[in-house]
Amino acid sequence: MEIASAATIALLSQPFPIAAIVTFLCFLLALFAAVRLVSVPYIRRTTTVQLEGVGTRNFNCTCSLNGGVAIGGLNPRAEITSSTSTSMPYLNGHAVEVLEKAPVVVTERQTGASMMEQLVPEITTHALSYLDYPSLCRLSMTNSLMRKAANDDSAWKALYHKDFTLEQDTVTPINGWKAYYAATRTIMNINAQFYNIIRDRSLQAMSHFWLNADYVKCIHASGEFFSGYNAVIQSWQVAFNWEQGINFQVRDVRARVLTDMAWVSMKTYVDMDTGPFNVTNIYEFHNGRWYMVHHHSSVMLIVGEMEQQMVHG
Amino acid sequence: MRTFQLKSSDNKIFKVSEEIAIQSAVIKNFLEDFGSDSDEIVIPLPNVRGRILEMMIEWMVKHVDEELTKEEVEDWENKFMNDLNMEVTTELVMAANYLEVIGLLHRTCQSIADHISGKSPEEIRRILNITSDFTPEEEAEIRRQNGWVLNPSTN
Repeated sequence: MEIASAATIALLSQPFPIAAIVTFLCFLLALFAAVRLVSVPYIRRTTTVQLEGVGTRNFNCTCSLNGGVAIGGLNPRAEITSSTSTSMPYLNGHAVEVLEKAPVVVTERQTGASMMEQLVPEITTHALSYLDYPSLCRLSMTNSLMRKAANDDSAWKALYHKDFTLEQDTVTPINGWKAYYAATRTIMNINAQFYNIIRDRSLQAMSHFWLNADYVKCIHASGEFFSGYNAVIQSWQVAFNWEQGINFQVRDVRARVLTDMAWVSMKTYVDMDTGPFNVTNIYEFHNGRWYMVHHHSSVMLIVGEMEQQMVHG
Repeated sequence: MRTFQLKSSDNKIFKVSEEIAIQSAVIKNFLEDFGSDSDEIVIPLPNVRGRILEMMIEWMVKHVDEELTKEEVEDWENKFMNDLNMEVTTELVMAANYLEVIGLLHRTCQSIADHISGKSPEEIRRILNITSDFTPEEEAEIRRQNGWVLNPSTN
């Protein structure tokens, strides 16, 4: 109650107009309410703002808030729940949602639980945004509370956009963003493996990499078209006999993954006169693993076209 | 320049200049609304204990020091953070969030992540002082769910 009494003194000593006093009082109350809620300002700026807004608009609200806050101020922290409910009717849905989370923080603080568990979810999420995906996964394996925090859907969505692409912003993965991140990571690894096989010129690995089916197709950068497993593998045998084009870089890899199908587009830059190439690879999931079913490589249109692509990329 | 007194939850008083204090957005707003020229303003901070407030002020003082280069401040920040255990770091996170000292909030959050980063689940439990509360079924589910990280073999 120190703030409240300080406010009274300040008000008595300085003859403000009524409106100013109300505003001033509201600010102090808002600040005080914020103070009691542990959580607040930076991450939860909205709470403070809304309390202020409500207070300046309607003096009755201020009284109500005053009552609520006074309870919180006089009693132990556990009472915050009841004071919150007192002022709830005057707050809109958003603020109520924010306030409801506060008691959780308070109780954990008292039991001397783990440090991380004292943090409000928003701060935990912020702290976890500095973790890479293996650390986030390992954290999710420690206990229920950390699992919930570390499996947070928006955290994984943010990580997806950071690690892979800003595209697919409107996508809603059916099993959530963590599963989608995992699936994308797997496909990216497999796609990288494809290029390792080409670098190694391993026909055996390439035969294993493709699905043995009559409908698989491969279109090489030369424009040659091969259909069916045997024809495709033979085409790679021929390709591996060439001496050129082994050192290349793969850039702008973009993957889209569905339950049992994935397609990946990319650009490859080769240390030779031909190229660069636009490439599309398509994979299907069979018997617990991914197989290549389609590969299409074509020469990229250079200069103007490429600049345009750079701009869009 | 005005000076103010910041009072911690355990009634420790810290005198700070306005330049230092207004790195807290909450204090800055408070002072703007207060609009007094008095040097005698006491700002009670019932959610921050003295030791934490002292550290926050130490941080804020470093961040108004114009004689330090960006690199020097960064080096100082790293040393400052490395000297702290998780418990104090977490308290600082809460205090920085409460007083809206944004730079400190980001840096302390990052520090928490640094403590956890690259550690095994067992090590993380030790660092965070938590115990596993999973049922055997949940444990199996979690192994399955995170297998792609633990066993990153592809094909």
